[in-house]
Amino acid sequence: MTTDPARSAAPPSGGSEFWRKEDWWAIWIGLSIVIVGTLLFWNGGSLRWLAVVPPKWKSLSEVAGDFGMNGWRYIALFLFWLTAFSVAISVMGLRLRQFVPAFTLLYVAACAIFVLGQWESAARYNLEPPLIALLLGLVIANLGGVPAVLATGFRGEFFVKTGIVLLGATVPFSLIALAGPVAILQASIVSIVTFSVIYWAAVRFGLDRRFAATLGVGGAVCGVSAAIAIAGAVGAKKEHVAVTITTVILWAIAMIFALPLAARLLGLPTGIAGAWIGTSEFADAAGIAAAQAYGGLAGKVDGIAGTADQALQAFTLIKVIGRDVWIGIWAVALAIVATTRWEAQPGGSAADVREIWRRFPKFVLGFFIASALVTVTTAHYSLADYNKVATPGLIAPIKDLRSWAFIFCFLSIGLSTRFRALAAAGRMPFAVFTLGVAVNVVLGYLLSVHVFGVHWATLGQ
Amino acid sequence: MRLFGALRPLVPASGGGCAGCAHFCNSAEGLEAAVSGLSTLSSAYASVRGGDGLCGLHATITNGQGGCTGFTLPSAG
Repeated sequence: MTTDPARSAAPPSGGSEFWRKEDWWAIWIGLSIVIVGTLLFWNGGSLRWLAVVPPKWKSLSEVAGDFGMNGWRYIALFLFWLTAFSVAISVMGLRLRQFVPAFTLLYVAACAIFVLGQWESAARYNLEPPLIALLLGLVIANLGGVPAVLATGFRGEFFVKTGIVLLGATVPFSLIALAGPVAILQASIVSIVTFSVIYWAAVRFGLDRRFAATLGVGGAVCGVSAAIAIAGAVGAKKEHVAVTITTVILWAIAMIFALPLAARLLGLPTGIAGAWIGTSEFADAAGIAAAQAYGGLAGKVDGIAGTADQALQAFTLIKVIGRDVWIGIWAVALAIVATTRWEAQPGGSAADVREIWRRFPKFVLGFFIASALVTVTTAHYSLADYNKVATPGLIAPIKDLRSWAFIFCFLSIGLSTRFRALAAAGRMPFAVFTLGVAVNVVLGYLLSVHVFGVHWATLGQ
Repeated sequence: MRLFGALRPLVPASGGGCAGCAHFCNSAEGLEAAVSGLSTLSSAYASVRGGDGLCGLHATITNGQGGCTGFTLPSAG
């Protein structure tokens, strides 16, 4: 069998990566919003008109009234997102014919989810928008409600990266500098232990070493993204990658519901729960869903201290800065082990330290730059003026646009998860991965609550 | 010393590397179609993938920098 040569291309290098990888597009879109918002703010304006969100409501007539009054703003916001994402999708080589109807469907569903989340009684009935969006997407996708061809338009990973860049604008740079080292320490401890447990158990039970490594990083670093990166670095079998991806997806989706539920039963403050989710979830999109769902309970459910932002910030610090950014180092280290310790195989190559940068999740740079930009812009404000001037004029509109990006992501996770299309998980790989999950969750809890609990509970205060 | 040896570029066995082989596909679209679930919680368009692609001959994911005796030039047509 030969692969269609027309589908082969040289690896992105130099400038081409700037327009062929979604990480860079997340930066271009996210930073453009932050820069335009900052320029408007300097000139006495704001992104508020564009960043429309449904109001808090008690009766449906209030919702109807809002859509009647602000209908053009919702249409403008749709056209803004559609244009921004379509340019990126088109340049990256995806099909616009599939993306446009998929995104239109996504936007309509996102409006409904956003409205539901603004219902005054939503928390009382456990209607956390991220979880509802995920469930709705899963039901629609798996009952055949959406043509499979549209699935390529549900780019959850692209949306969450754009949202994380926008999240950077709401996180003071000083907070990243102060909390980052603790996040890296906690994440590193859990990542190394989780990888070791999964790898050791997998090899012990007779799985191929390359498969074991792919499963190990899938549980320890960044889920599906880590699995594909390490598979390429060590030359894992395609079928082993597919099994790893299925296992990660099943556990990641289960954890979206389980971790917020466990945190709620334990009455954890939002910062601590965010850190735990950041340590024990497997994918950025899944973790953001869990962290936002839990953060949304702050102030609405008795016994949950902290703010919604603390959950998202703690999650992002641990997951993105503590785990994701190290994937290139994992790749190079395991490539060295594969070429020096394991049996040679066709297509194998020597480790290349340049892979550290090639595989670096570039959208993280956008998170840092957005944070630095807004921090510098608002540095001269006193706390009172910051809350009175900068928050409504600059921060809040960016935060609302971020909320839209995340809702697109949550819906996309569900809409693109077709259980029948996934590879069979396999009993043994699932068992060893589950062992890693158990260790990860317990260790993540101990570190988040008992070792660094004070740090995470008071994050940003 | 072994570590530094591992960092040296390998010379493909057949004189042609995976990246130029007819069996190798590293288009993001092709990879997402070939690996079920890849686009659900990740993406083949992500930076972390680097230049990885699928070797159709050995059914492995590889970074395209190696080579083997199965190297085949893409057909001109």
